[in-house]
Amino acid sequence: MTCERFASGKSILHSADPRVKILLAGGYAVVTVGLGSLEGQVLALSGSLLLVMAARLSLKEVFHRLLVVNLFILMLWFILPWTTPGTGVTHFGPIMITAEGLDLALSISLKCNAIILANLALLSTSTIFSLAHALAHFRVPTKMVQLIFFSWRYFHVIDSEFHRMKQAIKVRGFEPGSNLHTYRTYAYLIGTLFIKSLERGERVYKAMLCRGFDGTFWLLSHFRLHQRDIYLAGFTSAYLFLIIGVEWINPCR
Amino acid sequence: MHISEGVLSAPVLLAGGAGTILGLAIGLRCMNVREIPKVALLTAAFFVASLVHVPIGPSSAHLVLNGILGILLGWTAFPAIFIGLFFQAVLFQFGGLTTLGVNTLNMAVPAVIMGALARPALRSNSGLFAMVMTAIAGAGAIIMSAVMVAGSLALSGESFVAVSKLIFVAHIPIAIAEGVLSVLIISFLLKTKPEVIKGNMHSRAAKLGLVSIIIIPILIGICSQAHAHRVNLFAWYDGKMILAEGYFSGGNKAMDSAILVYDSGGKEVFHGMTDKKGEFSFKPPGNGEYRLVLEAGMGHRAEALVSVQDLESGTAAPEAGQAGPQTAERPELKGTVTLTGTEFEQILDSKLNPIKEQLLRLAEQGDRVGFRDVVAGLGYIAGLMGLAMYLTQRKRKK
Repeated sequence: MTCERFASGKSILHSADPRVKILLAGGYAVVTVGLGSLEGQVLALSGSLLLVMAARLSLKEVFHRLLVVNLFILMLWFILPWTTPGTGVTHFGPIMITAEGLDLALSISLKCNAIILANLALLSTSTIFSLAHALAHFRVPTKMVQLIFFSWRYFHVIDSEFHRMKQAIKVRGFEPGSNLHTYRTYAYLIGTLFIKSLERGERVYKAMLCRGFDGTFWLLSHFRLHQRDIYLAGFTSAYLFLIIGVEWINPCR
Repeated sequence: MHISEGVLSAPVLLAGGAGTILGLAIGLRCMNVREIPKVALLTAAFFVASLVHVPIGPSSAHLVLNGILGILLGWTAFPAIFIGLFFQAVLFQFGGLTTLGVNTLNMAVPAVIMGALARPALRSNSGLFAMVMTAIAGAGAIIMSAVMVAGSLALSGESFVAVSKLIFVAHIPIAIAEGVLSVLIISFLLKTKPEVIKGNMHSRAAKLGLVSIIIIPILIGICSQAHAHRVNLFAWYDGKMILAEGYFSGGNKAMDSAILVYDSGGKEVFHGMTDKKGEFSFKPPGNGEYRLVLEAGMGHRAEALVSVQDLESGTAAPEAGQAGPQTAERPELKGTVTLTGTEFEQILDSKLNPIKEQLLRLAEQGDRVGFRDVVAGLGYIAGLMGLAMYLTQRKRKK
């Protein structure tokens, strides 16, 4: 299962320090969520588009990701315009479409896509391991970082185990349907998966004990802050301040 | 089950984040270092299992399994769910980073509560009781999560109330499927490896009380806010016309909304629309009591009663909001002084009506802001407590 689809690449964002990227992604999300003016939201969206360009991600893949998220947004477009009280624009029979509802749906679409694109460019260009490593530098509790590390490390193992079991039931002629047999089969499949995971967890712990594990999380490699990281941070923060300025000038809707 | 970025309001995001930090602190505290690989592998297993699509009737849904997670992990379900959602946010852009706190809280709080509910039953040796409790835990965790998701949406703005109702209804079949699956999974685990369920039960439930004190008010707040929005209608009679003004509790005017007027017999005598200022006026056909109904779409509805007497001489009988009918008293001093009682009343009413309206509006706005502040405040308290617990834990380790 290839999940970290955007993590390999050679762009400036791929080689940037994950610590800087986490801070920038956090800042970008916080600023964007608070935006109330259309100008600010459009600026935020164009900024994250620029970041995606800078990361040189495959636009087809990015579009595919956005498509899934925007299905939820589409649902909001169908519901919000006629459930939001306000000035009517047009009528469809008894249903009244309000300007406020359209505004709200538009603002959610812009903000949501802006944050997602920024996260794609800033976070998905790192591997989970380097993100967890960066979290350790931010003084996130060791237990949490270890949990993230182990979960991600064994996610692939368990996933392949699960696929093997699924193939096994398929080979035996299993057809999923809405019946108790299907549910029982899935339940046993998942139960077996839990037991296998627990047993593997115990084996892993024992193996780690043999190698002198005492709960400490050693950081062997350290990140180095390069000149280009500072440029990246500088440019992005300047852009964020620009957005805040535009937001400040334009009255909230 | 995930709420996307950009939908929720800032106080809701903050309260969710603070609650999640608290839950994570407790979860990590409950977890022994030697349990890390086990919890991590279970987290991974849940993440894999949540990608399974189970057919439900004509459609299919992916599993959530937070009830079982609560049964197996207790408080540690918090970090497990947090990590699962973190992966989904970073890898698939489901949910999001700003909503990570709210989403974790919405799934983990039901997990912890339902887990604590079902564990004693599973420890007892009564088979049927244990299975009933497991079914309740499995289905209940989904229902509770759906209520919390709906609540976080409704709390973010009155426009989301319809969406949140839809989300709640959509989760009912999933809850039933999860209840059935939970029973099957737990009975399988009891048969194959009972120590998985019977073994890892420390006195974790004892701490439930502490946090429910903090988290449950937030929950209640989320639920009660859903009913807080409503539309108001003020109507009065100025001697010639019946005037009405409609607006929402947030202060927005109810523009272009339909107004229906019924007479005392319940017969519709007039229907019209409010103008851009949310105002409406019509000339009553005769004396009597009129009931005005404002329909501002999707269940926003308000009523007001106006009684019209003495259509010719113009007695004003103001009525505000949902107050009951009240007939203007016949002036006793009529004709004895230059300023008759009727005139006096009329003047007073014309002066006082806008002020009365303003007062009520202010009171409602004050109410609203105050309530959100309380929720956010609770969130801050929870966050600070979490921080304090985290620091004491660090100190203890040293």
